[in-house]
Amino acid sequence: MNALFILAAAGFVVIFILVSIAAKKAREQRLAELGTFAAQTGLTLYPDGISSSGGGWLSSFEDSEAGRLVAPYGNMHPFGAQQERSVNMLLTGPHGPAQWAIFEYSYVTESTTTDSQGNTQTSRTTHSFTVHAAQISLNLPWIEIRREGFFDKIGKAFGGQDMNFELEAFNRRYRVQSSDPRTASGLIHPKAIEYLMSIPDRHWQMGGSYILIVESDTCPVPEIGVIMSEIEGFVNLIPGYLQQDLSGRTQ
Amino acid sequence: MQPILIAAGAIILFLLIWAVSTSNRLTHLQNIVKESWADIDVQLKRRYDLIPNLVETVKGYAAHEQATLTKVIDARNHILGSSNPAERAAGEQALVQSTNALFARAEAYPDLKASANFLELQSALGDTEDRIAAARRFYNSNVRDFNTALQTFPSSMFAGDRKPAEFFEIDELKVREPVQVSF
Repeated sequence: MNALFILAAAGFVVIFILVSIAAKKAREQRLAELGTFAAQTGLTLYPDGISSSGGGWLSSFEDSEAGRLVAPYGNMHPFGAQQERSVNMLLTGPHGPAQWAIFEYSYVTESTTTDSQGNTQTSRTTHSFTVHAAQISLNLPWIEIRREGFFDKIGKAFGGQDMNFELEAFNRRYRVQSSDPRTASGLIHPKAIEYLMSIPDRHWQMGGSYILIVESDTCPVPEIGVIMSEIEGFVNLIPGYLQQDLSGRTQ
Repeated sequence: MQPILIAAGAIILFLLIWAVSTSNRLTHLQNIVKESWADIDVQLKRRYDLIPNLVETVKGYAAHEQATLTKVIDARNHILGSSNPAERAAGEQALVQSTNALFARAEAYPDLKASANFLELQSALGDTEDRIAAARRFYNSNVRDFNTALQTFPSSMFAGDRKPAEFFEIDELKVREPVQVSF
């Protein structure tokens, strides 16, 4: 029995070591890929991310470098008042028409379950995202463009409102909501609709001077380049009159 | 007996809330249509304000195009008296046709085409056309939403004396020069 226990423990340790080595190798490979990508695009890579703690005993995430980085996207998905937030593998710098911040964002949620015998168990889940944030010199209203889900379709059938455009295929594919439908309608003009239909469906969020595309989990490095060019393509389609109107306005 | 009464009360309350919110939604959509029409109005007025300057500029270089210039001014003045979308669209059509004819005539006057004033007006009119197109798209999309709500069951039960709104379709001014391709 004792020998079996020792064997199981040793096996567990070996698996743990192998998993750790694989994770370290994957991280190193991703860092190398991101380093090459940063060199190609002229962005700066912060491999260890930036500090997620403010330094003092009582300081919060909001006081930290990471907190200040994500503060402008505070009302967008997936940012909020979560636990153990962190920003890793940060890429920043100017490229094309925008100033970029591309990073891995994660936070932890805990859920407690109680079984029939009254024993409580707490499970922790880490939620990871890759955030592609472009800062441009316009002041945009809040706009969200995301794939229309099953519940959105049901909501629509019961009179739930989102913005509708000329192209029915676009309306079926995306759910668009905005704090300023008139400006959103100007931004999502026929050419922009055609453009959005020609690229993979993403979760677009805009507000203030930021345009965000957030992907669940870790985004492969080539995909980061694709998403950057998709955002740049959208920015380049913003009509001149809207650029005039939105460049000087305050929210 | 009592549970049945409670259930019936709950259903009546639900239907009442639903009826009020559906009726309010129709009013809300109708108001949005009115607001977006006001935006078209603003953008079209921007166009009307630019037309006299355009006419004056062309007159300076091509005074013997008087017939074309008069047509443009007459069409503009005629529109200022109309208010509903259908009347307005017909008037706009005449204005667009006469102004496009003016731009076509301008091709024959190189000095006019090169003048700073003309280029500036062309750019301002191009910008205005984009604004009109955006306002028109927004208006028509609101009209579509309103008409759909008005004509589909069950919201159609609360239409009352509301009438479907009219779409607004107009041609654009051909202010931008065609792309010159040379091999």
